[in-house]
Amino acid sequence: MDNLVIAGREFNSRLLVGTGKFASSKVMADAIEACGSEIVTVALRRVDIENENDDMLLAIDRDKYLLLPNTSGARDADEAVRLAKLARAASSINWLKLEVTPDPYYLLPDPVETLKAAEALVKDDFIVLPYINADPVLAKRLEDAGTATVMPLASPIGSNQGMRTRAAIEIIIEQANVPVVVDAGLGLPSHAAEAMEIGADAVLVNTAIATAADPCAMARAFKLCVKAGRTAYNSGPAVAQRKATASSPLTGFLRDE
Amino acid sequence: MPATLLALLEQMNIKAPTIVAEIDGEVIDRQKFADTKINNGQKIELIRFMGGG
Repeated sequence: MDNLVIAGREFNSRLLVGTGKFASSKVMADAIEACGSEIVTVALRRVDIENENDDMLLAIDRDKYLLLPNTSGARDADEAVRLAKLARAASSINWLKLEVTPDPYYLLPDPVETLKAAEALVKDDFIVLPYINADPVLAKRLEDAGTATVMPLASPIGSNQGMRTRAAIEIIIEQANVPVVVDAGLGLPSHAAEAMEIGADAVLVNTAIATAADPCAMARAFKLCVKAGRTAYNSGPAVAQRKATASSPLTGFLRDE
Repeated sequence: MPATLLALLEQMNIKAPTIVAEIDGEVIDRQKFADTKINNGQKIELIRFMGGG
């Protein structure tokens, strides 16, 4: 078996999925089912007492899927730690996607505050999966602090630009002793395949599935590409070269020299 | 005014099982909603899970 193992827990699927931006809880539940994911991220927000609508959590079968609360909206370490504690109180789950994004335009994660929060949360027995820029030094620092994974971004959240940070992610993968989950910016199944081909342990996708015209079909496409990319990685990909090397024999040509 | 946190939630028609509450910055265990008295002037935060990536 070639399972993903995070913090000692095994998963068959290497595709983590976010639950934002879906048209309805039903579409979300169907897409999660279709992509075969076992880990789904959720956010924490204030209850809207004027508009008490359906509870999206009820659409997620928590025996089947591990809820991974995120700290989205946190602008510094203190806010992230507060959200983490609320998430644990709400879900009784100590797994956490740590994200600290003070920059409203590109939503890039703050490395200093993320590391600070990670250190505090690991001490407080959280299983921390930090969302980071593709910075190999930061990835190492977080691993040393005891995080369960590192989750470098491929490109800004929701931008669908694909593997813009590929070279740095390759270094992170080379150096990491914890699973590397490529998170954010994967806009197409082929982007996910690329991440898996270079040795990422998993990918996290939300926008590309949720905002597709047919989220369920796109979820299936991502599932297939994550599997294809992983299989290719395990198969030992051929090495890229500058010059041509013939695939057919260079002898026995039907010509007179 | 309701006497407890649980009564407040019921009055607002908010289902308690997936809610997390903070009173004056302190997280309240869900098991204690019924026993937690609320008073005038307290800051009560009610939070729940939403879709997110």
